Amino acid sequence: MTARLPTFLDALKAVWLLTWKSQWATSRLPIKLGSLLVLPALVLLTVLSPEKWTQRQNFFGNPDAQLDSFYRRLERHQIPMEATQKAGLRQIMRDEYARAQASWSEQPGQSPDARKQRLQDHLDATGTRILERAREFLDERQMAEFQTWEQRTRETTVARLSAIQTPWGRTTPFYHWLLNFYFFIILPLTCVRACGALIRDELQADTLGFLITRPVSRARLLIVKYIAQVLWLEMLLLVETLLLFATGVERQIPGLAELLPLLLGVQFLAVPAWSALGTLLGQITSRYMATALIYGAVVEMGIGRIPTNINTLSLLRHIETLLSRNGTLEGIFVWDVGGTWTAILALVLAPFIFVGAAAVLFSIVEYHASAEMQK
Amino acid sequence: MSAVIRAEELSRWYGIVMGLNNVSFEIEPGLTGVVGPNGAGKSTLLQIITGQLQPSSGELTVFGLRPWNNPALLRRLGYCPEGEAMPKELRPLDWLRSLALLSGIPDGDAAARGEAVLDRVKLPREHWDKRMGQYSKGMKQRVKLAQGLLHEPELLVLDEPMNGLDPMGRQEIAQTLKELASRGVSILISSHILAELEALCKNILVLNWGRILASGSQKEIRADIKDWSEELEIECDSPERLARRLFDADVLLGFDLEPAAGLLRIRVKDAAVFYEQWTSLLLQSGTTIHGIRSRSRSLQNIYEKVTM
Repeated sequence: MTARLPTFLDALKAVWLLTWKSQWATSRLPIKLGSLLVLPALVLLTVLSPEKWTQRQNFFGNPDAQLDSFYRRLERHQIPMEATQKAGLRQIMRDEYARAQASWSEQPGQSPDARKQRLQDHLDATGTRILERAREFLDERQMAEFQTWEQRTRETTVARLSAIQTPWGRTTPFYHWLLNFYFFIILPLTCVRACGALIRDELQADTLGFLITRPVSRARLLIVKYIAQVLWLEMLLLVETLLLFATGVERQIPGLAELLPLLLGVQFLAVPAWSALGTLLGQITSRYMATALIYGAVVEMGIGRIPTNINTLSLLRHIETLLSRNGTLEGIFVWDVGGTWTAILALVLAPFIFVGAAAVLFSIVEYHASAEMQK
Repeated sequence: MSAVIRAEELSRWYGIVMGLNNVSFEIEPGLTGVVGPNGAGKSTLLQIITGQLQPSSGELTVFGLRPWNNPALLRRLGYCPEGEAMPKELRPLDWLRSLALLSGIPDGDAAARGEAVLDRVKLPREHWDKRMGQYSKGMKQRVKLAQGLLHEPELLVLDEPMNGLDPMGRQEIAQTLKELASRGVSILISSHILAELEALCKNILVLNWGRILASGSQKEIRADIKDWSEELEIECDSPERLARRLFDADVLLGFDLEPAAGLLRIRVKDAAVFYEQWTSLLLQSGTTIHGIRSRSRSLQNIYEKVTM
């Protein structure tokens, strides 16, 4: 049997087999599954269902605490209330606040004035219902005091809520977990870690010699290793994203059906881009994770926020640009976005540039001296 | 016969540390041993030959080609590194199938090829389904050798392949290597134990401190060092008398006496001069010889001399 030179697909298949068979090893499986479940578990713990949210809601204020201030007011005016009256009034307040909470939703893109007017109308309707029901329990003097108190409380609440542009509502933590934590931190770091280690881990394990003595050019070897790792990451992170969305569905987060295709599309572009960055950093330094954090601070958080064309260098900004197509996200996050096609082009080109540079480096540099010196 | 490997003024250093120091040599087809103590530069040399390292200066060619980043040449080479490092979570056939694909063996043949080489290195089939992390040192050595044989290379480079093998295992691997050599495969094998190579290799390269101290066939190496001090252990009836006669003839560098055991150990100045005069000096001394053993004629002795 005479071996020929392996084709690109031969090499890719070989490295893909090595990649997934290593990753899917029984010893690693529990850790992998466990790490996939950590973030969904955190979301479940911190995002409340509508029912629990209604029970604990305090968006419009805590009715019990507010009523306590009303009782003190009556005591100052020497107008006592019976226990049955207090219980009846408390029940009315709780019911109507829960109803107001359940029927309120933020409208993305709404102007502050329009939002304030909506809040005013919403709370006026709630106040009217409370006053009508309260007549059943209160005498004339109590009712007069209650009307005055309720009107003032309502005005205070409208003023308070109007000042908050994007209130931290029930669904907001989910989006912050999904984007600010998972999509903008965990996903990039996972990609950089996995691809920065493409050669470094082989060096550390002293197994690089088995690969670089095969009849495959060093550049091609690095590229197929990158592609195999990206394929693996795409699958792994797809599962993680779907788990997070499943958690969102369980917590009845609205608008997920519209967000899912967009997020998966952006993720499909983002994973190769972050992975390519990791591949290049891994070729440049053995401390690629520390370098990635510095890169993140300088380029993504620094240069990427400068309102000139230089912010095109930020991958995060391009990702935000694409995600801002979603109305819900646009209403929650304040992003300085650019053009859609520029963003797509940048995310598509980034892997070619980063991996190209990494392949050139790997073709020139040995990455073997330290291992050799340890012998 | 053209050289398989040719090095001219080859040097390799790591910062200020010298790995190989301006060495020139040629390695002919067949079984060749590279011997030297740890740190002699063996692994550096083998890694330059297999394209893992680049020379700092000078040139090394294998089949007339430079090895670094040269797939056309690497297709003709097989390499078995030192150490036990292997992907421990993989089973050997999975690993070998991947490496076979990476070596250019078609997918349809890769799995069968993996089985064939495992059979060739005599890894018992009952261990094939285990993950390599569970393997003993000897089993790992066999799988490492197997991966080097996957694509039937013309030159097989083995870095300390006998490490960790029991005597039976060593014999089996040596037999496998001899079979390969008989089929025309050139084999370069390194070891810090000369005895392993002495019985196996026709040619030897002796390295220490990055320099080649001796090279060629075992016979040539012995001839190269004919000027070195020869050591003989002579069993006779009167060691004192023989020592006095040899000392008077000024052919000795030194001697040790063990009269009770009837032993005389001598270190001769010039082996050629000594053997020319030996018979007459022996007759003149009137000593009866019961036995003579040369302590310098085994490669191990030569190796110890040049590497100590």
